[in-house]
Amino acid sequence: MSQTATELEKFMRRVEIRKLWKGENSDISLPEMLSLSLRFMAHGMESHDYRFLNTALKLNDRLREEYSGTNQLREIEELESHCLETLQKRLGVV
Amino acid sequence: MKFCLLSTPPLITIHIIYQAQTQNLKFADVVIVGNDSQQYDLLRENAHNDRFNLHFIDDPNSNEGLALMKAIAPDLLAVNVFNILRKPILGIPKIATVNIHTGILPQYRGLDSRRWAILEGGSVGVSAHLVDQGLDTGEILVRRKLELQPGDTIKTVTDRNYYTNKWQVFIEALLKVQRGDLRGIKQKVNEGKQYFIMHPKLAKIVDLMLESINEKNLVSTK
Repeated sequence: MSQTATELEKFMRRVEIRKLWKGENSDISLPEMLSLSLRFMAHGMESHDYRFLNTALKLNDRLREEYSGTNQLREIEELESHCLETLQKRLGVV
Repeated sequence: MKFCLLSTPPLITIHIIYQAQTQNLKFADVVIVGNDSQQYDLLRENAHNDRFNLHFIDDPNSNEGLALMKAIAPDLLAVNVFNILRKPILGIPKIATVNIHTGILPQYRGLDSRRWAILEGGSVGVSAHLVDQGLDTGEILVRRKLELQPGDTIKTVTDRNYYTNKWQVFIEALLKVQRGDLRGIKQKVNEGKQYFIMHPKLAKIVDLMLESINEKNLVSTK
């Protein structure tokens, strides 16, 4: 596991254990959440470690509430759809 | 050997006690994490008939929980709770603490093991293991895999894993310790991962995978 992957794993565990997508628990800003989600989705699909995609989906639910109608949300929506479609293709369930 | 069961949901607690009785294993004390509500009436009746002490606590790691466990002073603590037990409570049982995990270790630590195993093409099952300070990282005493069957849904997989594996493997592990056999399979942390609750969108893909397996089976049997 590369240094970057190890760091991402730590971030992912921190987000999950503290449920940082919940407003009352969140000690990260929305731009940080957006950045993490994009990195988690990219890493999850590249490494085939879908725990990262899973955490990104939870962050995305929160981002949808906060970024409604913005370009940031469109970017998230497109990438999320692409990730889920790719995953289904990989698993042969299209 | 004095056995204590630390458990949460009422139904599985009764199942574990029943399975233990069929194997001549008796819990001297049963500690329920939760309030003393009506849902435990059947358990209270069991405690009266089968002569075990029934206790209720809010949090096993609290001062109240620690004081109770010290008073019970079990040789072996059998654990079926969602709480992560901290070091002070783990130091109380004289011989060991054993946990039942509804996933195959060392590969699937943490939550939603069945769904993650299906998503990744791994094995579904249960593992009974000694408890250390990590999460599902102690030596594995007994584990049993569950074969997926045609027509399976996540519910049938969950139910079959529960009714044919979970309590049986748990009691098998406790009997192993009772015989003085504390040898387990040491886990290497890098052999598995810690998983978290699966998001509904991924859970839906797991459902589609099971449907897809069923469709392929239907085609292959035509």
